[in-house]
Amino acid sequence: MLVDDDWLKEFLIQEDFKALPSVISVRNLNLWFGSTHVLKSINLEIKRNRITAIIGPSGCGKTTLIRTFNRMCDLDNARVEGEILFDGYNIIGDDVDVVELRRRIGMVFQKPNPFPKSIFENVAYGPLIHGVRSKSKLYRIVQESLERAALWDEVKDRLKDNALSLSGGQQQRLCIARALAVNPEVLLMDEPCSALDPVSTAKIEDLMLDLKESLTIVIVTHNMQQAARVSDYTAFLYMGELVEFGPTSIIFERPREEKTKAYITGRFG
Amino acid sequence: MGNVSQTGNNRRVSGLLNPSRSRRSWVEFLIEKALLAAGLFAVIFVVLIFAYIIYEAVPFFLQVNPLEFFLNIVWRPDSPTNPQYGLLPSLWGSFFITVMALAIAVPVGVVTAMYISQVARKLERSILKPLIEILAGIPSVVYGFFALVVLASVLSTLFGEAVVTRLNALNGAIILAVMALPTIISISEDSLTAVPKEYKEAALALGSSEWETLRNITLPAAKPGVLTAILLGFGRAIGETMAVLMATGNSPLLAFNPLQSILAMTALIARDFGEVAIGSTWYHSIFAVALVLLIITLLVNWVATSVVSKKIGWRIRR
Repeated sequence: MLVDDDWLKEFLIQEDFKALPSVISVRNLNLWFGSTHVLKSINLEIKRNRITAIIGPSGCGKTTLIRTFNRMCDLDNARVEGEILFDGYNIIGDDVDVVELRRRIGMVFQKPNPFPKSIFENVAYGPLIHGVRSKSKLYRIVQESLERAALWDEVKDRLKDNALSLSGGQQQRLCIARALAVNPEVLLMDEPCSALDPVSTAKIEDLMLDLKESLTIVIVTHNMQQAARVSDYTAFLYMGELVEFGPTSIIFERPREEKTKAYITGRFG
Repeated sequence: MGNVSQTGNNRRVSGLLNPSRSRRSWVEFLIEKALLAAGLFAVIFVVLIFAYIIYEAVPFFLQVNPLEFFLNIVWRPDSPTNPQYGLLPSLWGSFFITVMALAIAVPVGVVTAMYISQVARKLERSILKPLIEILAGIPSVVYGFFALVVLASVLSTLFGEAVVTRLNALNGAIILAVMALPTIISISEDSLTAVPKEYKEAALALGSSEWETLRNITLPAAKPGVLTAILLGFGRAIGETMAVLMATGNSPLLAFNPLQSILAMTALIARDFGEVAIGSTWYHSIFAVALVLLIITLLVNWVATSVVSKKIGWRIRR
């Protein structure tokens, strides 16, 4: 054999990466909070129907980075330069319809944050504000979304109950269902399991693997095992710089950069 | 080894019996009681005032049938031949101007609070908030004087022939609205600002606009606080005396026209006390009116605070 298996495997993964269409392309992205330079010249490709994990130590800018993808960074008074291409448009700019952008790029937050309303109203909120008026259609969307979030069986008899009566893990899946109800193309997940127990975490990870059939997922995580388990691609961010980006198996097995190696083996972070 | 542990134990025992400890606990005891006394001071005043007003109002109800007091529509206690003690004109007068004042102050106040807490930039907020607080600090006699001299003239020109008396209910209501605004704005603003940022983020991330988020998420979550603000604004308006006395003309008539003079309960008390003979039925009747006013304000405050505690319950459950 002229080539070894590892080389072939790596080559195939690289070819696959090239062939897959990008949903979001980040080009030379810089971000400042006041005078603090938080994200430095980030270049990143988010591939369709794949899970991309963003890992890195606290304060490295992971959350800040995904909050630029749906312009939640507007709330943080950030100054952004560079390009984020989504559907052929640069979404950094004042002429972007952020409301429509956020419908197409959904988000799940670190802490489960259902509205203090009923389970049904939580999921129906998105479709309602986007103009779905027919009750039967609304019910169908709520059922579908809860099914996609693997929560339907647990809550189908108590849709009128307050969402805050659910457990933490259920609340987080409800938040996923709520985000799915407006049928987004991309789902951003900002440390979705950091407040959850291992069982709930496993459920959400299974859910992500199911969901990637129909949408693209970007997940920020502190938990490297989680990144290794669920993601197809991993980006390692350190001090606002993208140190390494590539297929998860390669990042975790044979990282090119010394820093990545040190981080994933737990020597710092 | 045994010796060492024994000395250790001995030291601890002697520490427990240390005389400075008991001195310290005495100081603790005294401070605790002093704080209790300070806390009771305010409570004692409320009880004393309540007791005194009841004590002075009882003779009135012995001389005049309570039914007459609550149902009679004439307040003419100074008539030498046929004095009449009807509460209705002043009760109606108070409610009439208070409700009109709230009809103006609630929409303006809540919208202002929404603006300050959700829309305004830091600079705007740092200008608006102190200005509104100044509004709360202006003495009521200044408001009354303004209503008497400026506002009444403006209303006269504005409504022309329709004005029945120059000083009227609408005049009082407008000035009361301005006076209730700081209460309504600052408490609504606090409760709107206290709505967890996570709710707003969740709604925005689903693609709702700023206005949809405010209307569907933030305002409903802040509703108990806004209700409290409205109730306290009500309490502020119904208890206000000086401005009302100066602005409304004080004729004890059961008037339903906002451009006609009315007499509020507070104004009645302030006005009649100047002329009454101590110990007369009239004198005691004023205490009866004061009792009614006190009960209304206490009720409003009680409802307002119970709404607040419900809100806290909601926060804890979260």
